[in-house]
Amino acid sequence: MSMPTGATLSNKDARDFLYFDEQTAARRVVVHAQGVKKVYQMGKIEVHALRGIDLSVYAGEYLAIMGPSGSGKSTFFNMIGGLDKPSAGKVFIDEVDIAQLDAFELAWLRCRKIGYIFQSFNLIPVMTCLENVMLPMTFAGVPSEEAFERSGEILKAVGLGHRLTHKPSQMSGGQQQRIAVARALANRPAIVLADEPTANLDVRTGEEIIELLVGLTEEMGVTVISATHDMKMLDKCDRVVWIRDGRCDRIEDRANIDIQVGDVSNVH
Amino acid sequence: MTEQSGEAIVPEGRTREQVILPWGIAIRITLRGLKIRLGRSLITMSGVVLGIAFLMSVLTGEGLKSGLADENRTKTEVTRLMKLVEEEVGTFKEHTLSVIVSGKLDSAQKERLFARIADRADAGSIRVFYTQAESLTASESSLPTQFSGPSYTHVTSLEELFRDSHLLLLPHEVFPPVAAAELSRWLETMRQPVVLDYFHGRYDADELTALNSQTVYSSLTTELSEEEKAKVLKRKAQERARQIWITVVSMLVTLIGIANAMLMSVTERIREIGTMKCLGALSGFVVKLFLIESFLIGVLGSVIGTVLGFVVPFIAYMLSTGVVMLFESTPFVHLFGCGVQSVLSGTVLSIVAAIYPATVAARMVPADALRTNV
Repeated sequence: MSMPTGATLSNKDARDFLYFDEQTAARRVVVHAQGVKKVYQMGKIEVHALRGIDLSVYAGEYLAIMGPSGSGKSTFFNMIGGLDKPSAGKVFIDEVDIAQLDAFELAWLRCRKIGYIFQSFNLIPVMTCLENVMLPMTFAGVPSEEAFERSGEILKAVGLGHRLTHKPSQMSGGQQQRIAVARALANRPAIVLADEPTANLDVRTGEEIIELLVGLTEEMGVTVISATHDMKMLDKCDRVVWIRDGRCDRIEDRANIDIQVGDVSNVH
Repeated sequence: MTEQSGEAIVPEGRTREQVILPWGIAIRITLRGLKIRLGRSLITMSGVVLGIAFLMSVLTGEGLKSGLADENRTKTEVTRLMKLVEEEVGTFKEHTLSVIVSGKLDSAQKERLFARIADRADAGSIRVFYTQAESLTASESSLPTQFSGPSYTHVTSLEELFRDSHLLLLPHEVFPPVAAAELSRWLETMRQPVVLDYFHGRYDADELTALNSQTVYSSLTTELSEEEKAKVLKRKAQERARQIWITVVSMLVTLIGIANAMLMSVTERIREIGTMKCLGALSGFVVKLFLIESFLIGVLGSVIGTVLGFVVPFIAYMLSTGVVMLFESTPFVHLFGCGVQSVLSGTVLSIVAAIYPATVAARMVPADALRTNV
């Protein structure tokens, strides 16, 4: 790893530098995909969505998975998140092959160790935002008093302390995604999976959500894996993985790529 | 780095006990969900209500119809019997009738017949001899309630029973056997020895007449010829087949109505189910929630449907046949049984119709459930 060139070394650069050079040996692999393949049967036609992907995700890092539509990005994302089963290959979460887990253990995993954020928020419409955040705690067996308190705290942390008893339908997209972020972090997971979290939001709101997510997860040392098109999300990440045609095209550290976002300005 | 780094993702052992959804919380979640989605829940429930109301109305209609038909048959039969009796006796005025009773009257027809006779007879002109013994030697000390009107007189000896009487009525099938010869001896003390036997063939008419040339012996029930019997059986079989057909068809309609309603109410929530699985819900949680919901909707809908399905045909019949007639002829016990069956089958059907799709949805891999576009 070479030292990043440029005039000033920002805090982030310094941290990254230290992280990559001095602590490489101590990096723990949290998620490991090995030869993951997925084939869909559409009548007589077989669709090869994934053609064998190997990837390691390290603890505490922020990984972005990018790729054009139909590349298998979402499919791969579902695989490493335990939301779907690969047709071939294995996915290890903390050195445990998730295909070997039974329903209980898988549920436990999803409840306590992984938090999910979706593009379309996926909140339960009949529950208030407090209850939405309490739900994973209920499934984790947290007593309702404690769940109530903790949910309140988390919602305050995402900036929705004043709207605890409102339902998702009464809130804007940005606020709903905040609830989703709060819910994903409810049981203090080790991994957060975000599937295009800013795709349904406008630019400003999207930025806010990214700030929020990154801010909270850095505090807690949570590994974040996000599938995204959003360049602003890329800006915050540690590594980027490109998926194309069901294969891993390339993996780059954030430091080694240059992101340019187009802007709109007047011709004259 | 926080404490997360050292801890393994999936610990051994303790997983099972931690991942349960207590019934209390499940019920609370379900009730709140129903309350909030009240409109949608009512629509689902109305599917159950209609299905069960239809079933119950068919059963009630059948029950009321056959009740009325039975009532008409009884009335016709009693009229015929009265005619037979009056043919032998003329009018009841100034005539004495004797009845040997050995137990309760075992049919509505018999009760009605005696009620009619009692209406037309003079006070005290019907002598009743009541015995529970194997022979006619011992008499009971008091009469059964059906024979306690002003027309009846209680007699305790055979002499009193037969002396100067005009007609002997024998209403029971099981009866202390009295030899024709002994009967004939008593008949001689009657003024006008006419024996009306409710059951054909207990005594041989020729035998009795041979012993006492004055005796007129007649049986009230007519013996059907083989041909007539066959016709009756065929008609009964047809009636039965028709009833079964109607009941089966209405149950199918009910089944489809309920299944459709419950299936819809689960399918439109497949995404929610997928979301819950992502939050760590076991398949069992999801199924539990839907079980409670479909049970509540099923029970409430079935009860309302049963009540509606009973009341509406009842009122319709009441308007056409009159209240009294209807209340007399309605087989209430049978209809109550039908009602209980309707409620039970409605509830069970609702639960099954909801649990099946819920189980399928809960077993889906979350990625598939979340992909649904309902």
